[in-house]
Amino acid sequence: MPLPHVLAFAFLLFAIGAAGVLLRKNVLVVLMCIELMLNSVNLAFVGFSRHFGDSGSHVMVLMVFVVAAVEVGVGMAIVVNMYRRRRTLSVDEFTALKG
Amino acid sequence: MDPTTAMLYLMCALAVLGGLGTVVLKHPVHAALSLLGTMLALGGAYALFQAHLLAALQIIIYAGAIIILVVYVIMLLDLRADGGFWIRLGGIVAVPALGLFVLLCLKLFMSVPATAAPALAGDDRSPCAAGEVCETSCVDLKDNDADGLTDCSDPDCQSHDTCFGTTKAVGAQLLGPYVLPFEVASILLLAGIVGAVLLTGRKPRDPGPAPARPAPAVALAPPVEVWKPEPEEDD
Amino acid sequence: MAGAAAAEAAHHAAQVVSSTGMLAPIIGLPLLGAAINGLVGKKLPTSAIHTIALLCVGIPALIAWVLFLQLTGLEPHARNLEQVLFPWIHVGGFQVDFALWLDPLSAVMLLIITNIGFLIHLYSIGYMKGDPSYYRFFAYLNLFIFSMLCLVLGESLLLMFLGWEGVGLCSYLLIGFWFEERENAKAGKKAFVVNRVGDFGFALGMMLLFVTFGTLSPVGDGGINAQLATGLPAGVSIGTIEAAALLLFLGACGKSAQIPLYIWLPDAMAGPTPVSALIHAATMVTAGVYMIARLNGLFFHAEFASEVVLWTGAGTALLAATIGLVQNDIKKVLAYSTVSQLGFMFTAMGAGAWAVGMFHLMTHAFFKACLFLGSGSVIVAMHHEQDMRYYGGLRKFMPRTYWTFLIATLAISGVPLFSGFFSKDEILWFAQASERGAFGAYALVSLAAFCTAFYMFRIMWMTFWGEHRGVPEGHGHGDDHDGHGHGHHGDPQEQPWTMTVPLIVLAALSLLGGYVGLAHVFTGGAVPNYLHDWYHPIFANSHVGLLPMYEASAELTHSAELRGVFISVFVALAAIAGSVWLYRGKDKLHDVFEANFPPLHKVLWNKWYVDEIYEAILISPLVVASREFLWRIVDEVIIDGLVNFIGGAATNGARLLGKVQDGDTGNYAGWMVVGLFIFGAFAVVAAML
Repeated sequence: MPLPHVLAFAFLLFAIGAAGVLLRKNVLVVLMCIELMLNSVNLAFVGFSRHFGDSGSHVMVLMVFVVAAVEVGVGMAIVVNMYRRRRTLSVDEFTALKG
Repeated sequence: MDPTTAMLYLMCALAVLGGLGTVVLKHPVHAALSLLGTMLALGGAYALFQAHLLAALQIIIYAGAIIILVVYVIMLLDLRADGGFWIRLGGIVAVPALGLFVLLCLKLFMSVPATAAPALAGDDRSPCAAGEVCETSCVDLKDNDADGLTDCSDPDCQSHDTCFGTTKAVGAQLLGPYVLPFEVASILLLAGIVGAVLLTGRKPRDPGPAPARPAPAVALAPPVEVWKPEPEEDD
Repeated sequence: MAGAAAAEAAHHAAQVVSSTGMLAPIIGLPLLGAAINGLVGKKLPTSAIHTIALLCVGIPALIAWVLFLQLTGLEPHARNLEQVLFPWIHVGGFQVDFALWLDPLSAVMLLIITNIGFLIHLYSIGYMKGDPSYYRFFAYLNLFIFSMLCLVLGESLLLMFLGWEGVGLCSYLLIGFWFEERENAKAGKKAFVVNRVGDFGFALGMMLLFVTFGTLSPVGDGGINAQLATGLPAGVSIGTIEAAALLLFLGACGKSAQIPLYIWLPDAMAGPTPVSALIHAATMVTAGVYMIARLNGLFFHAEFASEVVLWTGAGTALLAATIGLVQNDIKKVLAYSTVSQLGFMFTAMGAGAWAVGMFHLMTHAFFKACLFLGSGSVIVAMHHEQDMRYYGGLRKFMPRTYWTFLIATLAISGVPLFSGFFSKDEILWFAQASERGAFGAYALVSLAAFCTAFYMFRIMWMTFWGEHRGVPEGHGHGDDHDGHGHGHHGDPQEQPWTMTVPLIVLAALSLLGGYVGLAHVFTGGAVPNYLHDWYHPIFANSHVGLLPMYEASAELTHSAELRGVFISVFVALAAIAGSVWLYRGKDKLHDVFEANFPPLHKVLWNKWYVDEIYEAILISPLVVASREFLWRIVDEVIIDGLVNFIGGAATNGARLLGKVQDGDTGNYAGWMVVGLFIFGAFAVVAAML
């Protein structure tokens, strides 16, 4: 599969994930969309790796895995706390950064 | 188009579809499941890319842990379907911007002359093409000509690396040139664990009433009163 | 007087300048005294205050005598002592050092300033006794001496200007010394503002001179006078010279109270009498005359400006003398007399008789200071009553004051054998006989001399002769500033030695001071004219000759001079006789003049309405324009509006921008994406191109 096509898919996935982050109200769904973006990055990495035949790039993908895992773990903890505070996970309720 | 490539396109398409589902579906559980589909599709894609270890890890970590965790939390909090989309200025401006960006990048990539990917053993199921020297066993990764690249990425190399994407190859990289990120990643995981435990370790509080809106902005200071001199005669 | 001087004038002797270290203490000590008294004087006992002040004037006076003797020991063309204190302003082509210069001209001024200054400091001990701001007075006096010395000793016009401004400042400070009275403060302000008008002219003239000659130094080998010694330098037009001279003369009009800027001097009498004596008689007001003498090369070439000087001087002499005829305040009469006598000096300078003008400056310093100090003595004795209508018959109460005042009066009236006679007579001679003189000027000045003698003797009649009228019960005093040491409301008494000794010294000088400048007409050449010879190196290249008929014949000159002398003596005696006729034995409470010539008296008494004219033409429009236009409109509406607008714009703009931060993180993310797009698109497009 030619590299541009791989990258096209990766970008598409990334754009969809970003759109989700911007447009969805539910915090959990926003987190999921962030995961989507990370995965798109992984796809791009793997595509490059296959294209140049270098399996060292897989290490980068592993790092992304690690980061994603940690982020989801901590993110869930935060989401639970948010729910405890406001009984809702709607983004528009959390406007403490205003001003 | 050979079946491998067709499968690849299919997997990628499924991934995109799953992504769309995550964004569009209203119920969080539906969105999570759609995401799961994306993960699985991507795992397959990695496998077709000969990145065997990554494909396995993708399934284990993403589909098997992260999505599960998300679903746990959804169940725990007993979420229902919500209004879905939030129309906000940033989003309205950003999405088309995103689209434009993607198109621009695609145009860029299309204009780059594509070079063929090197042939790897196992691509076409035949051990080797006529006249080529190839080996069917996994060879140790070597850097014969000391150019910093393993020989299989060196176009002058005649031997094909059959270890691409295997645990052995990735492991050799991980404990070789990239040992520092490897160790740092483990510390990061530790930090994540500690953070998660700390954040949820408190007693659940009753959610109080929403805090008052912030005070209105300070009014402008009253205008300075004009100093009127007492009338005096001058010469 | 013509022949020998002309021959020598053509002989341009090279200047020899020696260096000295003794000039610095002359200006340093008064400055030190001012600093000490000004800063810590409040805590010092009065004896310490006046001792410091006296020392800081007395020691410079002694040094002045030493330097003077040193000068006399040098060759005439080598009588130049210079001391460079430090390089002052060195900017590109503008190089001015803080340097002091002593030559025959500045030496005479130096002696006058330090010695008369010392006498007046001594006098002030008695006059200012008991004043709560005793220390401030002596601090200001010392500061004044410092500034005046900078003025006369300055090697560069810039240093002269420093002193010029400094004396203006001290004049303001001292006129308004008793500033608690509003009138005094206003008088000080008036003096300063009017001086400023003149200073503006001085500054412009200075700049013009620098641009033209490349230096601000009148003296020395490259100085302005040297450059003008053999005619105008190349590329310099006569118009420039005239303009510079006129501008500088404007400054002189301000400082030396000539028309049109004399109006501050009579008001300046609000200050303590020693101030009037020192500043407004002997020293500061003579700065303009000194300046012209210093820049004699410039004025020598500026014929038109010299004519302006001549007529201004003559006109002022007469105008002020007429006003002085009818004033009742003794200090006011003396003030107008000063203005008038300064007019005499400028007449001489305008006629090109530089040394004669300086001669009169010196004699005037003697007798005018004596007159002012004497009037101060009278004022204190009369409990600060200054209206002469309440005086009378003080001769028997205050003999020393009386005799010294009489001697000074005789001197100023031009009675022969007294100093004023010699100097005034020369002025009258040169006014008519010099190439740059004019008969009209001579007539004006002669008339002024008549008035001078008349009003001075009027003072004598009203103050010292006749019956003592005294102040009736219930009449409000003039400014009586808390108890002076003498007894209240008794008979007037003579003042302590600190006040009478200066009077005696000055009276002696008024009597004898003229003999250093005896004109040849009196002695036939037997006794040299010391003063003219002394000044000769200064004015050598600026010799203005007499009218051709006098230049041709020494006989004619001699007879004409004698004739002039007789006329001036006759004028003086006639004036004295007139005063006798009008004032002897009459009841002076109602002025005889007023009774006989009421409309003339009214005009004179209102000072020819000059102040009122200025008020109407200049001051009121300025005040109204400033208040209505500049303040109400420009300041309040335009400037305040602009400033408030900018502030308001900043505040409102910030508030508007603040709406971006609404706490909705999605929005933030969205804008981040937009930013990403911009950067990314930029990079991508750059890569594609």
